[in-house]
Amino acid sequence: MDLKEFINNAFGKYEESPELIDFKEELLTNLEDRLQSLEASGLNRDKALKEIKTEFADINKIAEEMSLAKKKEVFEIQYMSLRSFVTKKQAAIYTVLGVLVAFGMITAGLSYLGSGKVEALIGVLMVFLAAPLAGFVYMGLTQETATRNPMRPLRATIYAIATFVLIFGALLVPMLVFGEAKSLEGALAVLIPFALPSIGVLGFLMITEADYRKAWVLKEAEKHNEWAKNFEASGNAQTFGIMTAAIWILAIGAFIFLLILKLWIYSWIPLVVALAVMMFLLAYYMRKSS
Amino acid sequence: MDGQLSSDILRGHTDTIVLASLLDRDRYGFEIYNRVLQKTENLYELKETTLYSSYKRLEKEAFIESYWGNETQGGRRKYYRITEKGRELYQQKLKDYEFTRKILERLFMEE
Repeated sequence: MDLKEFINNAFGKYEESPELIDFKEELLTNLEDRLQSLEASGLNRDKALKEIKTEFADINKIAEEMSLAKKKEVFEIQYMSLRSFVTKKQAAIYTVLGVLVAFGMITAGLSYLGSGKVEALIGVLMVFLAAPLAGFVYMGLTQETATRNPMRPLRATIYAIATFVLIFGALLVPMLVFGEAKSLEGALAVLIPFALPSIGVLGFLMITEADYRKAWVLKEAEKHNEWAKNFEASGNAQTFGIMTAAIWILAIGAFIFLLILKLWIYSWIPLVVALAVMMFLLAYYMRKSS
Repeated sequence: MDGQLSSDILRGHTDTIVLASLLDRDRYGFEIYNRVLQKTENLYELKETTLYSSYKRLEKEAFIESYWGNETQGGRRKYYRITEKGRELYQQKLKDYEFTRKILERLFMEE
């Protein structure tokens, strides 16, 4: 067994980190020199190697320090930072998408102000909001981060297309109502060819989704899910689930009701209220279980 | 040398020994280790693991800096350089040691 192997074995059970790789290289050159000097003093190679191994019996003490302390440090730094994972090309794409959205917003606003027509605003949004958002979905899903592995491009493409169709279809409803003066029922009917298939596709993808979290995140999660077990075991999770479902059914019902009454500007209120109530409930039940 | 070197005392001064090794020039791990061996006439060796922990500690506190040498053959060596802050620490440690030595002498002497 040569030195490289010895070092690799000694650090084998520790997760590779830039610091550890660095340290192994430092160690290797130093030990090579040490080996040479031992050989020069008259020891044969085997004896010299053995000597080094004895000297380094507690090598795993350093490994432990490096691996635990550094790991924590590195992860703390990288946890929130994408920088080391976003390539220049990706950064350029994100920027272009962001600019497109901003461009869409401004153009939509201008065309509405210029023509006074809501359909002009929506028409612009249909292209300049839906397309870049789909792009963001694709980029986000295929983006590797400190905590997540990237999704396969094909799957992410399907997500992106479904997102585009969904937003496009959803915007088509007000478009038809304002532009073509269609009745709301007729306009809502266009949701069937657009929204339904895309929701179906998205739902299917989400249900069959793999876990993209990286190994170390899973390990950390294991430690932190004590409260989740309590939440589950106390029955609070089920109560919360049922109440949430009820709240959303009410909220969506109210949303559709307001749409039918053509109270467009108020239609978002039930959704926001539902979200807020859900959060309060979650906080309440989490507290109750801990 | 009739007496024996107390390994505990030596180990307690690892940081100072490392700093002292870097006063005249930058050195890499094996050189620092070898210097200890030679200065102690091969009688005593400071464990390499102790030394590595010391490098890491000193570097983290910015008493020393490290850089890779540009060796043309074989692996790269990691050199350590003492910083201004490190020199100050060294001077302080020297004073501390001098003081401790005097006190110990007093304590060790017969009345």
